[in-house]
Amino acid sequence: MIDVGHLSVTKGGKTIVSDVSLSVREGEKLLLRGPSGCGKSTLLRALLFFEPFRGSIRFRNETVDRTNLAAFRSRISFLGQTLPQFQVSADELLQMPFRYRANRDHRPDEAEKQRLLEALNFNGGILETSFADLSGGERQRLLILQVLLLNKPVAVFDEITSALDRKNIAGAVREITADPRRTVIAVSHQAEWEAAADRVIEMEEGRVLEGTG
Amino acid sequence: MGAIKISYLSLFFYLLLIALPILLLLHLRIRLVKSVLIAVLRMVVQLGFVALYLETIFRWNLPWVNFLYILIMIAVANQAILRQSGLRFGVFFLSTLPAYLAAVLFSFLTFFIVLDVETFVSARYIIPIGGMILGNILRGNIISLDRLTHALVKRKDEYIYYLSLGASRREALKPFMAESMKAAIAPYIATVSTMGLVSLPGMMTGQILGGASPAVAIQYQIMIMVAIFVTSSLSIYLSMWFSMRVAFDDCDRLRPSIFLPDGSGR
Repeated sequence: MIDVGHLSVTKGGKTIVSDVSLSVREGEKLLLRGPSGCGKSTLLRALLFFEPFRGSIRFRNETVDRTNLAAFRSRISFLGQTLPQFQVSADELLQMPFRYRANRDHRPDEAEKQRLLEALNFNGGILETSFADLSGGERQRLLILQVLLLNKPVAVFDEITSALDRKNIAGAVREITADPRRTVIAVSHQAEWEAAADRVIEMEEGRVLEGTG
Repeated sequence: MGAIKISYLSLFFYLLLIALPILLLLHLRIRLVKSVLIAVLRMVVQLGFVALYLETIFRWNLPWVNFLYILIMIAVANQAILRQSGLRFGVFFLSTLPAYLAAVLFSFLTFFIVLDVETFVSARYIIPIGGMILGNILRGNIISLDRLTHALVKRKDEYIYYLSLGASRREALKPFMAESMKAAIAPYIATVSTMGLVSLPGMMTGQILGGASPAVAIQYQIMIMVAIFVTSSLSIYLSMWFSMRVAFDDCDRLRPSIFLPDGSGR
């Protein structure tokens, strides 16, 4: 589904990601691991063209470039490890992406929203609470819920369960990986992710380690 | 009745009053004496030149010369806004210039509601009014462009978050622009609401000194305040949109080359 070819990212003369090639199958749950600063997050951002890179990215056998980038991005949800600050209520935040032109055909499924709220261990009053007043773990779970409601074919997560306790990590990973059609690419060091992954790729100093790509 | 003339000698003696703040600076050992002297000298020379060429332009009173003069003022204002916002002249000048041109032109057209065309295009009206509007839109436009570009660097993750949820670049920029606009407009609202209480503006003071009745001076002041507010809002909004058209690459990434190398780490 996604083919990354010889992807390298250089910042300020320093190579962050070096000649990475990998393929991700439709519906695959892929886990990226490696020591801090080895280029995992940069690789994920480059995958969505948020970082300038050398190399190529193909999506469903079509090379992604500026002419079809918007269509490519519209099929992927991405959650980075730094969560933004918002002053709106949790419910307003959940509705926000559905107002974007690219998502106008999707409508948030109320029944699915209620089911996910329960599955992600939220209590009743959470939707009226301001995002700013939520704990770190609640914010992560809410943004995961947002991505699951958008229900795009590909979901990319960067350490998105880092502030959760064991029970909530298990719940979140279960929901994220439940749909066999959804392709998931995640960066995490948590055992729950490893258990749910179809494949684990190890990175070190910007490179994918032999035999794991 | 016109304003009473001040002799050059009296003005010279009045300028000597600058010695008072200089003495205070010396007493407190603040090393600003040279800067004060240079600033005052610059002011005198600059205003001297303004007096010379305005005398000439007022004497000619040709509409095309007046408009050319306004165009030059807009170009200089554009350059000053970009420099103060820490943005590169070469990248933005041509994209933001139409924003200021459109805003000022719109504002000029609105004057025809209250003044007849012939009066307004005369040098004695269009140049001071144009200058006053341009001088007052600088602050808001500097705040908005500085805030917007700064926020996009500092809160890159938030911008990426919007894009990664399906927002177009335009949609992703909207919250940043709304914030910047709010910050830029706030000082104007404060100025408008305290007008007459905290400050008696220069135009009104000038008109009263020039012999106009306070009632007439206030009418002009209301007109000019509305013009400043409208032109500022319009120019802030347009310059943000127009500047953002050249600030990103094809992949919606903010180009680092838009910033001046000012050592601020941006």
